[in-house]
Amino acid sequence: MPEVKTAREVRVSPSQAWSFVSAMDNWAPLLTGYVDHRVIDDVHSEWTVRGELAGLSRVAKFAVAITEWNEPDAIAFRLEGLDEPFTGSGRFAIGTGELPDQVAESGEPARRGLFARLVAWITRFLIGSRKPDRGAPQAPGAAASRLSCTLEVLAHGGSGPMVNLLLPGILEAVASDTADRIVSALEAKA
Amino acid sequence: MASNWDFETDVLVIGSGSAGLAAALSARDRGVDVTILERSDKLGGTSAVSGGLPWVPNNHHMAEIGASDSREEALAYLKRLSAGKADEELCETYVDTAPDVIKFLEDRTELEFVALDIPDYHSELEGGKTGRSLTARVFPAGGLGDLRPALRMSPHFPFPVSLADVTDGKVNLFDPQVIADRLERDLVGTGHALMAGLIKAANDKGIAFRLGVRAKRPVMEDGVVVGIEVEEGGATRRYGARRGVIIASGGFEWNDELLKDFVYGPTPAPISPPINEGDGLCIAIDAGAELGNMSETHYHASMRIPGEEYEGRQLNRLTSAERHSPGAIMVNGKGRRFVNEALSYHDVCLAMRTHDPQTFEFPNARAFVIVHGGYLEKYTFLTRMPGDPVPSWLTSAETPRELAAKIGVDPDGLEETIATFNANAAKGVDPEFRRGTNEYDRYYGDPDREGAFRTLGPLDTPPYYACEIRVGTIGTRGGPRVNSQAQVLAKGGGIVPGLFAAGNAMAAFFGMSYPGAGGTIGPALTFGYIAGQTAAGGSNRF
Repeated sequence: MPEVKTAREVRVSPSQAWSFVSAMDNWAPLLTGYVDHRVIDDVHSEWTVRGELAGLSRVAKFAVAITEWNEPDAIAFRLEGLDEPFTGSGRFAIGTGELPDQVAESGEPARRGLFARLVAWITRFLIGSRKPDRGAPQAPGAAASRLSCTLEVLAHGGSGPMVNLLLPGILEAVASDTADRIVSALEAKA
Repeated sequence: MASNWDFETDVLVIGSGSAGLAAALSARDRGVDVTILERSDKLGGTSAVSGGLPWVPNNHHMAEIGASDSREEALAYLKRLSAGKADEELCETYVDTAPDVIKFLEDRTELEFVALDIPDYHSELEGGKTGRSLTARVFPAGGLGDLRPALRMSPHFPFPVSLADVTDGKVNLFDPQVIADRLERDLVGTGHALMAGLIKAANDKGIAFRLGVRAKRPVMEDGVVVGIEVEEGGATRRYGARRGVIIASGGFEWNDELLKDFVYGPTPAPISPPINEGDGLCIAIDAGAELGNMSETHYHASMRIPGEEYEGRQLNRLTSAERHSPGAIMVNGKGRRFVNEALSYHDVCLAMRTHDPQTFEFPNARAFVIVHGGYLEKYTFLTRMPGDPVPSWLTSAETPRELAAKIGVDPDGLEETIATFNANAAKGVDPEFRRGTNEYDRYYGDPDREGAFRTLGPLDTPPYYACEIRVGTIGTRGGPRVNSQAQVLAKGGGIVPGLFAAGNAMAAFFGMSYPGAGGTIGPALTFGYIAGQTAAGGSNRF
């Protein structure tokens, strides 16, 4: 299943990070391609996002259900496409201390073979040879919390195998950009 | 002569599609300095988002698939389709030159063309053939180097596949590993392959590309076009062209005002990139050009998926299986069929544009594709593949009557239409529109079936589904008229010295017809090639 992991240091306390992440309305608009979301109850919500690849953009609607709520450090969820055949899951985790180097690299060591090649291709497809701008490096030792996110999405149906070829690069870009925005928003509030 | 140029070159080409690149390459081949202006930040124009096929009669690859052709047969075919509106002199120029253009491109670029077994759109008519449509094999786009990110990508053909793969039958295109390997090697197919090959050759030969430069009006001196005024980075600049300016900037299908003025009937939904606003046409008008074929476009019946956009505009999708496959029909607001759905995308639109003077309406302009459950089990419908959930943009109902009510179509008409069609389709006939009788009707049908059954099959498995189908266009094909040297003709006689045109920007010489797959790119490459040669061979004006 195509999966991305991304993690960021953030200069706020774990309780501040939890307060922000646990309230969906805080960070929903920061999701790359966000169009809208509707909270159905404490567990369920529906989301609409617009995905873009090389000039073509398309709206996707999906349902999210919270599957784990461990205050103050973890939220897990399951998602399912409403118009498109895909399923997935994800997890936010909040820790303390600085990021280990390998986590800060957004799961790079886990990439092998087909996945790594496709990420490279999608990156080229999206932005050419330019490397993604991940922002200025954080000062060593400045972080008070570690915010990490894991996202897995699998496309199904007749088009699934082809869509799954494209997903890793898209997820990578979405996770990375969204994480950057969340960190900025958190630090701005602090 | 004019001076104070911000930039000077020998030959200035406006537009980076197949016409512009062919013009640039042939001019450069004559040893002159060539610059291509592209208004967007992407290279490749309409050709890059297309299937990338040139239609070339009597091409040297036809023999490789056992086909034969002749000048006479090609001209007879074009004349038969012309309805008296073709420019016969230019048809002859085209038929005589196009095969050499393919040889030129194969010699001067790394492109490799293959003849396809796609029949002409009316192969049953005099002079009709199979094998005139060519395709480039997949191409390594990584060779474009710094220009790679500027290659325009297609919303219609996102995967690195060439129709040559289908003809070859050597690779399983449904194997994700095959596609992944090609992606890793940065291979591109269809129009991307054609344009990547042309752009790479141009870049290698020292042709300059200037992106984000929009040509606005001609700079003329003593009736001669000597340059172009452009918009670049928010400023107006003057680009001088010592030997000529070649308009190859596509059609005007994204310019609502020009469409309203020139194109009769329902406004066609553009399938091309939203940069085709008639820039070249306006320059030609300013320069005093004689216009021709202004009311015609390369039509393509299209459908929409709500929420899909290309470069910020609603994407209009190409249609094929949705019209050609068994278990699919098209109906108008009365629930009646009005055309052989398996005709070419262009010809179907000619029927959709029919005007009823009695009601003073275009009764077929609002039309729907109707399919049944059995269709969705086996065939693709736009981006929906067999096995995928039924998307919300397909209207569904358990009965034809119920479906008709949902989409605002006459229920009695739809019910009767489906009953009649089903009875005939079960026998493999279509007495109303003769669908399935032509080679082309069957080409894009179900290869697992035989004869007319490749495209004919009853709609007999509920639920029933509908999706609106519209008159679409790949590009307009009216513009400045040219002579056999691709020189723009002047109002009142003669030529506009220093001005040339090719591709969708020029007045097409086929009139209202669309002879076969690649009927836009074949002439674009050919008259681009001619324009480049003529311009490069002209005198140095300053």
